[in-house]
Amino acid sequence: MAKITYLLTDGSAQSLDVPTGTSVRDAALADGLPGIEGECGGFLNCATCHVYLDEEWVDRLPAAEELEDELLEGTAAERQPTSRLSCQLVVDDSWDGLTVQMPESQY
Amino acid sequence: MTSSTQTQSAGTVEESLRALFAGDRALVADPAPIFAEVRAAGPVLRMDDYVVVSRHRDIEAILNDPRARVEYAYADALLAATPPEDRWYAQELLDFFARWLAQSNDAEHDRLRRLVHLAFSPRTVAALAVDVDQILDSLLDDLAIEEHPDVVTDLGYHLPLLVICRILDIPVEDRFAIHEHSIEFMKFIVGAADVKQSHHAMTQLTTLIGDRIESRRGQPTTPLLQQLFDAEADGERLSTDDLVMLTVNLVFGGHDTTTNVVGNGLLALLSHPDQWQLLVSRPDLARAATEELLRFASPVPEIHRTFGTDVEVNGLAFAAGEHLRLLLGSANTDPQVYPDPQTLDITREGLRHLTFGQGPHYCLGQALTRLEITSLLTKTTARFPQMRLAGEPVWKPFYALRGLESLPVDLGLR
Repeated sequence: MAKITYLLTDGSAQSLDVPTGTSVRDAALADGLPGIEGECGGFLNCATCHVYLDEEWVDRLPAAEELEDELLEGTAAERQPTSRLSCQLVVDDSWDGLTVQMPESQY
Repeated sequence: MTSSTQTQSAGTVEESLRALFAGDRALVADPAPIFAEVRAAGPVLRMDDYVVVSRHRDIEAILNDPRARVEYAYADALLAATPPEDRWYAQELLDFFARWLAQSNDAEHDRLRRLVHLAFSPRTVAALAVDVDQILDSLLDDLAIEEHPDVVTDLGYHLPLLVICRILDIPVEDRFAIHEHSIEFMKFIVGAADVKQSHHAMTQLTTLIGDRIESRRGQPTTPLLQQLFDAEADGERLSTDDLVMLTVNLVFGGHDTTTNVVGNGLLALLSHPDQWQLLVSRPDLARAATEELLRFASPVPEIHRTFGTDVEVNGLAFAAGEHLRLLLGSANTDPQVYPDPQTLDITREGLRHLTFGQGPHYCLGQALTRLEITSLLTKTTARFPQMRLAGEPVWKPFYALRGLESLPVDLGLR
């Protein structure tokens, strides 16, 4: 279990206790948080679960694999060095305290 | 439930489904009562050579199961119905279709998809908004001066074809021939082919599009086509044959289902004048209306999957090789997921549906379709706020790609 904080586009923040093995995308959708569409179900097909990591976390998480890296070129909001697809961010206990920012748009 | 009741109930449902699958126009126009019957009959219905799955949560679980494979479910029936001397037509059609992105599996699917996915990404599609708006403005100008305007024949099939032609650098004049051949080829896709005619359509489409693509080689062209020319798959350049196949797939996939969304969607909206007027007064609802119309008026009411081994998914057992017909149209109107599912309500919030599928084969063109439909709704309601139905809609006599041949309207301009 890890506490993940989502920064929403309206400026508010929401923290969720995310079980180990659950993705940042799935946890947000299960809780109905706005900002992640995640249309394809988490299969690296739609690039609509884009989030920005807090900078200090970028090097602490496993790096994006090739396909995620390709798809990040197609996100609606501009890609930053902190950009990730949240379907690929599968939480473990060491991620406690991670903060992600929702982008302005997924389309 | 007793076994005799089960048998009787299943028989009734089976008869209704057979008529629907055969393209009975009255049933295609309104499949919802049959979907409700099928869902009530149980989570799976084994009939003829198929396993029919109708409930949202089961279908979603199957689509998201990486073991599920796409297949063309009518192959055995097509070959059995074709005289031996004509079977080579059927076999060539099957071989051709099996190479489409949408029909491929595993590494081959990944290879093809990676060649084109960025061309249909949210970012690339968002940049097409200006083109889509421009195409729509021109089409609506033409529609306004039609004596008997029809939003399928004058608008619905032109919009997506003009867009995909622009993306692939195909002359727009070719859209008439592409449309004609696509309609014929579609009969094969939905299992209703005259194999000779569908084979002819396949050959014509491949030749036409192949010639156009070849004529652009070495010339300045669109980003997608240039990307395909430049493409290397697994370290090897995409073959010319692959390139043509993929392009034909994109042209077909890029227009027929979207045409059906336009027709089915406008019919649904104009049949609910309160919702039409709501959209007229609240254009900010266009995106939400798009999602609701995709759910309510599903243009792809079913897709197919199979498993290579015996599996259990969401508590349901499927044997290796069974042909699963996943009723997306039923899933989208499942009351276990959608409150009051038979009510068209363009104000539904956070709506998710299965119209584009889900999982490894999630629709490549979903962002483009959403853009096209949202823009179409915005512009038609602004320009023709008094539009209304002006005649009987005519459904195509097919079920699996559900759409209209004709939808006459009165634009309310006089």
